[in-house]
Amino acid sequence: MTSSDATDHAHPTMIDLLLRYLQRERQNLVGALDGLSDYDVRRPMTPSGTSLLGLIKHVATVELGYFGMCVGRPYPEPIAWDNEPAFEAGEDMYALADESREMLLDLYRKSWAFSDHNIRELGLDARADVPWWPEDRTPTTLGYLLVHMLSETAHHAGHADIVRESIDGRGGGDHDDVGDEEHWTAFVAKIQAAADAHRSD
Amino acid sequence: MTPSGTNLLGLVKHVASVELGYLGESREWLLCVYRQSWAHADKSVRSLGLEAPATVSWWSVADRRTTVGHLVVRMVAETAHHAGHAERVREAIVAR
Repeated sequence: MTSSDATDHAHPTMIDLLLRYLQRERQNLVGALDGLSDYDVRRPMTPSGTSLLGLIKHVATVELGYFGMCVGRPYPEPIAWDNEPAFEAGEDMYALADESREMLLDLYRKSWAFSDHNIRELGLDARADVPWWPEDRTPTTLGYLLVHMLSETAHHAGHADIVRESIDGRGGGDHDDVGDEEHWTAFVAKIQAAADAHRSD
Repeated sequence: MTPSGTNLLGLVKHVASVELGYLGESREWLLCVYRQSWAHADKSVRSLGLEAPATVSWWSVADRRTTVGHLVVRMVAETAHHAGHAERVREAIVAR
């Protein structure tokens, strides 16, 4: 904390707000892996193959692209799966057997610092080019990419909540604050009873 | 559809009630409330602007005086997060 935090908190700039909420969603996403085995964070949990570590890998790659290459500051370290053949094989969406959980989480955390630094230094109005977007949407601005990335990270953090809940039953961040197991069992029963009135089978 | 009872209409209802403070009954009514909340929110945000003051009565005393811009950023994150829930719940329903 610095002495200016109280003032910043009272009148945060748009860039402060966007970065604060982006950081919250990044933490939500990473938090979904807490306490799970290496197998559980890697295994596909939905028909489309969503895995928790795959979400981390994907979001890290997207973030490094938007706030690196797209704003003229490519990430200096090579990323093995950041190429067309790997994307076509979906390798940015899941952890390969020889890619460690620590390496992928570390890359994601590095992308936070790298992105935040570039965003603060360049500002929301800086020009950004996204080669994989349709021509009528690019060039755009860094501010546009920041809103886009907040939304994308939050969306994937939502996926991660449900995937986590389907692995070990752990609900979202405020699950335990809302009530104990008895509360949740009763709550789910109430929802089921309300839904039963609309069964068509 | 999940151990905490997430269902698609519940997500719509929750998001709608966050925007307008309503609760409701039928699928049509809830979807209607949600769509009305889009129009109401968009109109408010455009006419007031991002810098306009806003007060959130259920936030802590230290935080509750804020700006429209803050609430817009928060709603982007909250809506996207719940849309992620909805996508996976939908996938679980259709796969059955």
